[in-house]
Formats: sequence, structure tokens, C-alpha cells
Amino acid sequence: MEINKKQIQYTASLAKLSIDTQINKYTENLTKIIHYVEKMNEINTSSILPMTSIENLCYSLRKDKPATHHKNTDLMTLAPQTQDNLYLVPKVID
Amino acid sequence: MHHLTALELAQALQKKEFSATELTKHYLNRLKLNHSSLNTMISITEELALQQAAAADVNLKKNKITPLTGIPIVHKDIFCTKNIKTSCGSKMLDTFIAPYNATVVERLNAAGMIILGKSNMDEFAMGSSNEHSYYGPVKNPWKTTHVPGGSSGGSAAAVAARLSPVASGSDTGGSIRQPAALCGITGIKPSYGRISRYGMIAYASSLDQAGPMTQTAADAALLLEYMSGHDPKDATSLPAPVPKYSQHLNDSVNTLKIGLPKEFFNDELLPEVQQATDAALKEIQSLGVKIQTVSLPHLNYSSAAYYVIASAECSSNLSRFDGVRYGYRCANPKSLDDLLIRTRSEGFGDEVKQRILTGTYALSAGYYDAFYKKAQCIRQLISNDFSQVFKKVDLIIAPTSPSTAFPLKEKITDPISMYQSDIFTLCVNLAGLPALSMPIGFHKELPLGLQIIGNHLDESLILNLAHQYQTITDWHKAMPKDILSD
Repeated sequence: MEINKKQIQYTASLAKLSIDTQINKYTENLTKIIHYVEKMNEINTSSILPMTSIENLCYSLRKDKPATHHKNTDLMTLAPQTQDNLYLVPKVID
Repeated sequence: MHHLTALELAQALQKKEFSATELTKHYLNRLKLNHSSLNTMISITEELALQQAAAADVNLKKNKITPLTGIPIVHKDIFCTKNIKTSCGSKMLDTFIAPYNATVVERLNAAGMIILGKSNMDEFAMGSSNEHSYYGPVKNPWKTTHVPGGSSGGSAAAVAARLSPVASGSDTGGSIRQPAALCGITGIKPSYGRISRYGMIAYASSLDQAGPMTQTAADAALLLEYMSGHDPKDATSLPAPVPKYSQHLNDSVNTLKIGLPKEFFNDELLPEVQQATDAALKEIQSLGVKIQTVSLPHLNYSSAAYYVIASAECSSNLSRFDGVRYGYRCANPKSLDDLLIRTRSEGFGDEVKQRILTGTYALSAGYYDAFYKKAQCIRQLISNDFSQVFKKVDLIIAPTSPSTAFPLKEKITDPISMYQSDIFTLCVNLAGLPALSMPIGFHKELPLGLQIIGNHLDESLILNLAHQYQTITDWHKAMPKDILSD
């Protein structure tokens, strides 16, 4: 499967990444990786269910009660920009 | 002092041969003298370490102690440490001060351990050489022109050079075991779910697992006891009770059946790896174990399946880095899109961006079935292979790494070549099994490691065999010579 620059630019846009200055490198590397993983097609998995959890392991659930671990004020101090206890971002809607 | 294991240090502290403060100052001095030549550390937490050491000394006086009271540790910078920079080896988190402790850190703090600092790592745990860190590459203490392995390269190098007696690491595809092998130390990745992932920055959530990196299996057993156990804050944390691993190290191993998968031991194995493995197997056989050949028929597809699954999961996990709530933000964003794109493009390194692109591609419309779903089916087949083998044997043995440490920059431009460094370790993470690496010799002055793989929650058996091997060999005692003497 060949990956062209248009596909990789679309993929980058989905991932919110700009790769224009290194597009050749990323296109070449992604093509190599996709060729490498296409090896999986050598195996017929039509009768196999995808693995969704580690075999025989049982996870425990907690009670459905609100639990708070961190103070809002502590977490807000981590943000690059805040105002009135809200995260500040560029305008989204005109 | 730094020639002693954690267990020996604990005994010396309890006999009052020195205090926890003296011990901590000794390691802090070693770190300050040596760490920049190896680049093992991102942060040294001197003030915290001395506070914790003072508290440990009070407890040692009152005899209110655990076996880990007063023992120093470095934590891989993937674990959140409260009020301390936690960078995950990335510019994206260069200014991030964690507001809480990871459960692993909390448990080891409660056991009385002393945090010397945060060790260097491949960015967001993506790498096998520790060359992908925002803070520069780590060097192998055995040969500083060579890599230490990754992504827990800083932790492995710190323990190998005895800049800390023990360290914490994380393992998604081999990131504890492979650097342990390349640096000549012991490291164990426990069963998936054995140790809480709360506060461990996520790379691939179905594969990530924390673990100890130590000089000996006995030290690893002790740390594992304190690191493990159910955590209500991690929904994938197992409710299974934690055995006293250190009490089973001297159990007899002469009824154990060991499997050697023929797919690991093929003609492509380098002669030095084959020879060291053969010598180690001879020693292990002298303990009375029975060895037989087994087969893991889908082993050769584990690398392909791993890189699809890990990339897919990382693309999802790393979508949280958006410059809004924490971490790096680009200057003067003109729009929300500009904020997201420039923050992420400037904040992530090239390898991280590569894996995000791979994962996004694999999960995108039209490709999900062909890649991600296919990989999860291959994963089920690999897990089934292991289940079948563990009906016949108790443990599986294999090389940890296909080679000794390679030179810096040798593989950095070719992703596939780098991915081959983990071909012996990836399958273990796919199946969620426990596995340990221990040193078994040297080739041209570089260490080699052997991997012991167990069935789910069989860490006790793995550590038992590893400890018995270490009672009849000396490889784990070797220390690199070219460290500045104090």
C-alpha cells in the first residue's frame, strides 16, 4: 500500500499536527511502517475475535458514588492561561 | 556504600552502620559527579531526598520501618511526583509540575524510600535507545559511545552505574527488560494490571506496565511487593492479592519445566547471543530444571501487531496534549486550530509525531478493520499460543535483546531497524504476561540479558528462578569501571 502526500496531510490534519516542512520524511517513514505491518495479512483471522481484554483477568468496579481527588484550584494553576477560574483559549465562535 | 544491593543497604541501615541521611548524601554526590556524563537524570530532587532521609532516620531510630525504609530510588520521569517536574522526556511537559503522586510513587514513599530524582527516558516512552528524549540521549555506562536501551534508559544506566541502588521503569513493548539487558541489570515487567497505572503518563493503555529495575532479582522481588496491588483509581488494576515474592526466592526449582520457543532460537540469532544464552541455560539446568522445545507459531507477527496497536492507542492518549489545561502552549495562537496544531507540532518530538501519525492512519475510516482490528486478532492468536505453551511448561526462556547495545545514532534514522530491538519482548506485552530480564554475560565489554517469561500472575516463579541463577553466577555484581571515583 503506497501512502501519498495527500493522505499523510489528511492524517496529520486529523491528528492536529503540521508536518509540511518534513512531509517527505514522514511520508517515507509511514510507507515503510505500513509495508512492515502488512505482514499481518499473511494470517487468516476470519474466525478469530479481536482481543479486547487480557485473558481470564477480572477487573473490579467501584461503587457509583462521586469521588473527588483533586481540588479544582490546584489543577487550574497548571494551565498556561486562565480567567475567572476558566481555561482561556482563542475565540471559537464569532 | 554504592557497591551494596538494596537488601544489603537495608541491613546496614538497621545495624546503624550509617544513617539514611549519610546514604542519601552519598548517592546525591555520585549523581552530581556522574549523571551529566551519562545524562541519566532530568531532575535531581536534593531537597526532597534530604527531607525524606531525615524522616527515615527518625523511623529507623524508633524501629518503625519497612524493608525499604531509607533506601534511595530514582523514578522514571513518566511517574507523576507531587510538586516535582514530571516531563515524560518531552518539551510538551517541560514545565509541568505534577499536582499528585502516581500510586507507585505514593506506595514506595509510604514504604520509606528516598527519591533522588527523575530519570531520563525516550519521549512519552516511545523508543528503544533513549535517543528520543527532549533532554538529550542517555549513554550506556559500559561504553558511553553506545545506547543504554529504552525507553527506561536513564533508570537502567543509573542502576548499572550505581548512581542509585534501584529505579522504577515502565514497559510497553520491552522498555524495562531491553535497557536492563543492555545495561547489565535486572528488571521485571509484571502481569498487566499487577501494578496501578494511576499517575503513570499513558502511552498505550492496554500494554503499559510499571516495574522495578534493580541489581538483583531479590531486590526486584522486594520492590514488586510494595509496588503491586489493587488500586481503586485504576480500573484495569487487578484485585488479586499480592504474594510475598521475597519469601519464595529460595523455593526449590528442580521440578520446573522450562520451554524454549523455537521461533526465538533460529539461524538469525547472533552467535554471541546464542553462546551467552547456551551458557546461562547450562547453569539453569544445573539447578535441576527440565528444558524442552516449544512453539509460539505466531511470534513473527508480534512486531507488526504491536506497532499498530501501540501507535493507535498512543494517538488517542496523546490527544489530551492541546495546550489548554497543562503543559506547553505555542506563543500567540490566532485561532483554536492554530493553538492545537502549533502546540502539538512544536511540543512533540519527531518519533512521537511519527507514532501519532501511524496510529491515526490505522484508526481512520476505511483502515480500522485492515489494521487495528486485524492487529487485535493477531494479538489474540499470540495470547492463545502462550496459553497452549503454559499447559506444558511453567516458564519460558528467551534472549531479551537480539544484540548487545548498539552505537549512538546507528538506528535513529530508520524506524524499522529500531523497532527490531524489541522483537523478543513485544509478544509478552501483547499477551499481558510477566517477564524479567537478568544479566548473563558480556560480549566485547557490553552486557547480555536473558528473559524469563511466566504465565499470568506467576511473578513469584520467575523471581524464584532468577534468584537461584544469581546465587550460582556473578554477572549481576559487575559494575562499569569508567565511573569517576569518589
